[in-house]
Amino acid sequence: MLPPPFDPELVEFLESGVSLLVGTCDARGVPSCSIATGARVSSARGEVTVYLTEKLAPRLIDNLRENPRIAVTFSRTIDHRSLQLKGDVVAIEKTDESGKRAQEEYLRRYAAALIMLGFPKDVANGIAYFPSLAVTFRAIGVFEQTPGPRAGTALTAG
Amino acid sequence: MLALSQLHRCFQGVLPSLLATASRDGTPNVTYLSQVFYVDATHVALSFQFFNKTRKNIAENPFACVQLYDPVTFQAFQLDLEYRRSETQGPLFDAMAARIEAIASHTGMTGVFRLIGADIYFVRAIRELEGLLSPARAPEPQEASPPSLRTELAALSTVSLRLREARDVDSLIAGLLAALRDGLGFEHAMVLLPDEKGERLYAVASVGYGDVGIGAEVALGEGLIGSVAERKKTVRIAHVPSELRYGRAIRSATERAQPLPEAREIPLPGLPDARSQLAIPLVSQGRLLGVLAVESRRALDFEDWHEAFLDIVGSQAASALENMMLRAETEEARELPKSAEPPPHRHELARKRRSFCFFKNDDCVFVDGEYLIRNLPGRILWKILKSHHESGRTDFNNRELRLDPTLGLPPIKDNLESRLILLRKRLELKCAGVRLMPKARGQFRLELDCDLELIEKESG
Repeated sequence: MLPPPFDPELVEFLESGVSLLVGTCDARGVPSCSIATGARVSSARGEVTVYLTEKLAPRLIDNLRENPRIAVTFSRTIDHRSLQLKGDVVAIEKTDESGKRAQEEYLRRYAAALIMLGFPKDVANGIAYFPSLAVTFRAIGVFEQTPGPRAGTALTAG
Repeated sequence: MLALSQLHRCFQGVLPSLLATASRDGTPNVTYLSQVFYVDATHVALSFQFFNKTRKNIAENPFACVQLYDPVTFQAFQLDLEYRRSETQGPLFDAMAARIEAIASHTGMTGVFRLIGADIYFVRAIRELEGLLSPARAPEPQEASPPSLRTELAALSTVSLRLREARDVDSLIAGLLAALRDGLGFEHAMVLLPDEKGERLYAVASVGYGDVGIGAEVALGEGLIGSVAERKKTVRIAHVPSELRYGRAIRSATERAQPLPEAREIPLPGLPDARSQLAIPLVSQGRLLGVLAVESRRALDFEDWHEAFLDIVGSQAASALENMMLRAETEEARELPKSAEPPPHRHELARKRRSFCFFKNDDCVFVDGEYLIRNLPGRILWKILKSHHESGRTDFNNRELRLDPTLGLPPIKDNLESRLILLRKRLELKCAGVRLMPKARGQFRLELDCDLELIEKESG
């Protein structure tokens, strides 16, 4: 388990505008993946919310209705530092106004990193994010995911 | 359904892909993947480099999902995959390993990223994903117009003609590079040849970099070019990683700031801001004869057809090189070394004096305190200069160099000719008053416009 509250350093990393990769799988174990456009952490409750653009998300959401287990990888573009959180989804809701603002703030920071890497400005600033769904999960483990031989090591057993 | 081959740009490894797998108990895992390899119309391959969670999941549950991006339109695609088998040898494994090692070596990560297996997956479904970018922001799909067949064939015929016309290795390589530049617009290219031990490659000719890199060396297995030579496999990098460009830019700025005359390494020519690179091994009958390397400032500048085209050109050039070297050896074997002619007498009032220094520990020759050349070409130059100094001799031939045990040339296939080209070019660049002029096949004359001082030292 990953007991709340989270380490403040972890929260800072998760909310810092890093790339967000989401994976889910159906009851037969057939997986799907996509990117998320924003993440918010509720440290006290031990919960994380990721925002999934509706158009990109149908399969991820269908899977979650059969199997609530979710994986989210947080990866910093500049140095590839990556962590993966695993958890069980507790709520899927339409994103509200405050969630939309969180997405906008996320994309502002994420686009800056993409531009620094040489992505065209139009592309970096043009990622579609609304309408979206806010998917909240209770974290049960965090894993090292930085590419290399240590990838997959549990930082807190899950 | 979309055809896998329509996604060809997604397989160049420009933008990382997403890969999801799941354990037997239904816990998903999601990670970045640097490249998906196209195998055939219904299969792709993923590299297996570490015994990580993905690998563990695949052993329990064969289903996987990959999300890929087109590097030009940023369109996203999803592939539903089912694991079939892992290959640990064969052409696919070799091609993937060559690419991974080249990039690892290029980025200073040699040994960390090693291919364990080429994992083959059956593609169960291909989906085009709408809505990654806001409609107004999506870039116009700008299809690069493929060169017309006629242009390609005309260029190929120009290259062939140049290769056929060449009379020696020097003109063969120069002709190849000129034809590639004029016929196909490869503006930055170089040819490297292996040394007599097959341990290092050295640049003998280039276009688009000036003369500075002639004689630059790279060890087998080192960097893109060294890896291509070691594996004898073509590697194309469609998008040079930005951190690497940064490193090269720093290196080039440092070198400009401090030219070091004593440095015994000549840096490899290269664009500090190259974004596309392609290196092709010149192989004839399984033997490595050299590497042709091209680069460009534009990402994605080299496409499948460039690679296929240069593969054909490379194999032609390799055969021509091999024939030329073999012919040189057999023709020389029939000729007897001629006795030295009397040196042509030159009367000049004030001839410049050049000081040559030979360091015995690494067979390195300096001229007036500046690095000139080392190893076999260094020993050859020293033999010629000493012989001239002691007996006034000016005419030499390749055969006597081959037979001289102190030079240490291998008994067959010694690529002596290519070593002499390098020596000639370095002299042109650093000491134009000393020239090795080719005469008849396998013979050359030492021409001097200066007086020589020869010094031998044990070590530098």
